Amino acid sequence: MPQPDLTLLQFLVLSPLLDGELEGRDLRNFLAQKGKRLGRPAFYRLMSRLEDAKFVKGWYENRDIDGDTVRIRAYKITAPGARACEAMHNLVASAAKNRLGLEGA
Amino acid sequence: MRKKKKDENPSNRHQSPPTPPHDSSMSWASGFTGQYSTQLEFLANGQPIFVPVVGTSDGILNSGNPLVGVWTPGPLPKSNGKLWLPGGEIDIPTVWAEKAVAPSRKGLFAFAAVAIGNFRAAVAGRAVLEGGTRSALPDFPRIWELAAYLLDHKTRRDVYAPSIEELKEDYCTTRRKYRTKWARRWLRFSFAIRTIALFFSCFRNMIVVVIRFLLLCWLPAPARTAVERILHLN
Repeated sequence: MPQPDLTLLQFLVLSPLLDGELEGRDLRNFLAQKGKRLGRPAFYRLMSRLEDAKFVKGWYENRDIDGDTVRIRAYKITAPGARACEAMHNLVASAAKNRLGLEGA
Repeated sequence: MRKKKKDENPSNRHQSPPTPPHDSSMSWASGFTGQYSTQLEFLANGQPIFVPVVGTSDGILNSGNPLVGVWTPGPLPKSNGKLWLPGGEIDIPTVWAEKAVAPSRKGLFAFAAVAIGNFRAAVAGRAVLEGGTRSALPDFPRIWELAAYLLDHKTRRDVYAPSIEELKEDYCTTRRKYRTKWARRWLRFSFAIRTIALFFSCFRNMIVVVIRFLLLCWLPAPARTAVERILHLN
């Protein structure tokens, strides 16, 4: 079986990015909904590794809150990230299929 | 509030004293020795308003519109202020007045006629002069931002900075809801605690990275990946 480029957690965090850009906070909320609660540092460390691997691209967006500007980190998936995500998806799907096949036999 | 421009033209210092506000039973303080003209910027309901004003150093200020004036009695900051509008007076709690004035002239502020409607609505809803009049972020515990320089560059840039920006956003959003002095002090304290926790979390993160590097650098790549997976280091 080929080794995937992504861990399950990385796959989980990349999958909503396939639909479009998201802010860090939204991604963390998504992970929390999926039962994987990460603190801010752990989450941003994870995203940093994904950025280093060129799977995502991150940038800051300025947001004005009552005259104060805060910079919000936003992310979008890159082409290699999308490919890795798809490969991981196929791998998980085939594994599930095999398992179902075995159970059915 | 930010003072936008101060006219240093000496001719302005010798103009006649500002006239008392319209419909006011309160008298203007006397004995001032000079006056200034300036332009103040306010944010009322999110809309920036620039108001030309004339004032004196002893606590009197007259807006560019003769129908609108504000006076806070006595040395500042002290007590409630009054806002004169064409329809009558409105008391302004000290907190608002303090927020609204330039640091050097606390208690003095004025609004242009265009702001009256917004201001009345804001007074009714007790949501006047939210932000903009003074930045909320100076209250944010800056020492903990500076503490970030104990972290290595990559951790600071990739982990601490986005985390602290999220925290700042939380702080600004939360600060809108609470206006009293003690509530805001509590908020500052709470966010200071959260920032400390964040800092130590980042510090731990940095240590983990270093330890991982020291422990795993001698392993070949596939074995390293396998160990990382087993230990959930990703």
